[in-house]
Amino acid sequence: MTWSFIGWILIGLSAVLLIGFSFFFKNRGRYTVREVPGIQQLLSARAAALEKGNKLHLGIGQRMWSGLYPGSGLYSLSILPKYLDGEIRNSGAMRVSSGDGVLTVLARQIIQNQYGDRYSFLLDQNPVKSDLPAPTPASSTAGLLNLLSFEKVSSLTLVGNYGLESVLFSEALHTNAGAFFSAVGNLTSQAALYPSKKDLLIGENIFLLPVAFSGKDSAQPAWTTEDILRIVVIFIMVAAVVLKLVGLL
Amino acid sequence: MKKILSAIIIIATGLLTLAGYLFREALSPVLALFTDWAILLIGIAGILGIGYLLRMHILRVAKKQKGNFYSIFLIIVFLLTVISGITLSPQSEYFKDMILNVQIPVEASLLGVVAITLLYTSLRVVRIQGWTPLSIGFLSSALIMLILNSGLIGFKPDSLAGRIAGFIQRMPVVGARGILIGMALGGLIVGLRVLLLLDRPLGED
Repeated sequence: MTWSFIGWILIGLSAVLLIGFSFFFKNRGRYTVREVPGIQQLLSARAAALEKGNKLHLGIGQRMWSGLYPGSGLYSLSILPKYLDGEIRNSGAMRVSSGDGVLTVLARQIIQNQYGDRYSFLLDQNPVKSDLPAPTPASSTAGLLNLLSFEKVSSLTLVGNYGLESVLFSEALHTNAGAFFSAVGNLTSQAALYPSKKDLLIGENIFLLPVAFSGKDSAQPAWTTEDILRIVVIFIMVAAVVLKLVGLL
Repeated sequence: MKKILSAIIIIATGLLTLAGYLFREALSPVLALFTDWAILLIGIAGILGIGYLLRMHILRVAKKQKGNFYSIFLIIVFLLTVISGITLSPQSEYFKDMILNVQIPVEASLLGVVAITLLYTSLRVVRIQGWTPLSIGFLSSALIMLILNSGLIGFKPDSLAGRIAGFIQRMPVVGARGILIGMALGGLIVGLRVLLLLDRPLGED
């Protein structure tokens, strides 16, 4: 049995559990969705900003593709439609930015698609915008800091690929007396933000974000599956260590 | 219809890519084709992105928005870089010197600002997180790592102290792997949710 084979078993097990729990929870009706303090704080800050007519900002990453975190660019794009609820679309009080032209173009497509489902993006006087402050990570950092300062952004959410520079954005929001929230899928950024932020989403918790925005209960099968998989992986790792110690592996 | 079509494309591409890991030889031409299409699309999107960047700054100048001076500067430098890159070629030593001699010092100064901000925020850890075991552990481990990695204290690699120091230095890697395994599990579930149509990442309800 190879590690690759064990990986396939885990993928198969996940699929079976997901399908099984989806049917199970569908028949049981509603259930309590897990509460994550960071997400609750973000949702309250977002609602407060919208009520006061303040600006929101969503950063979707400095890079579309990264060798170590291959899916995080696409994942940040998948968060965008969940974030764009009717209230935000109508008020246009949000701006999306990234440090990569590809992310910006795809984000714009998603935004236009969201408007296209309801009414024309082009006819709207004040639609949600997707910008590329600058084309490289370092220049984009300077560009975004500039935007945050000029537009008096009161709520910034970062998702996707960011590095150490995320601490600068956090400080900029602190200066603006705004709310900063991070679900960045990058260890460097998570480590840099940890000392200054209390309710960060790290590890597998970053994948809870889209469901929290959409407010649907369909997350329960995924979370239950994830919890079971965690335990399975822990058992596999402990077993591997024991087998290694005994000399069988 | 549009939604069904996009769902079919997503599932077909996802399943074929997944099957490509199982049947490498049979599916490698299809996977190579997908990769080429993806690279082509990403390349075009990248160029469009630069177009959006220019448009945003031109509009800012035209509407005389706050900070339009920086936009004028950006447009001039951008055009200068593009024109000199086309005329001299990006391989030209003169072009590289002209760009890198500006870019590297600017990026280094940004890193300097990041370093100072990180130091400042690290000192605030107790105020923000409180005196919890986690914050105490974070601060003390940062201090120990700083001392061990600075090379101030030398250990012989074969000595007991050297082995203990080596063990401690590997501890952050263990933590990072734990977080990465968690992220991999989360990513796996998200991918399966899309493939099984339990989630629609493009936002269609």
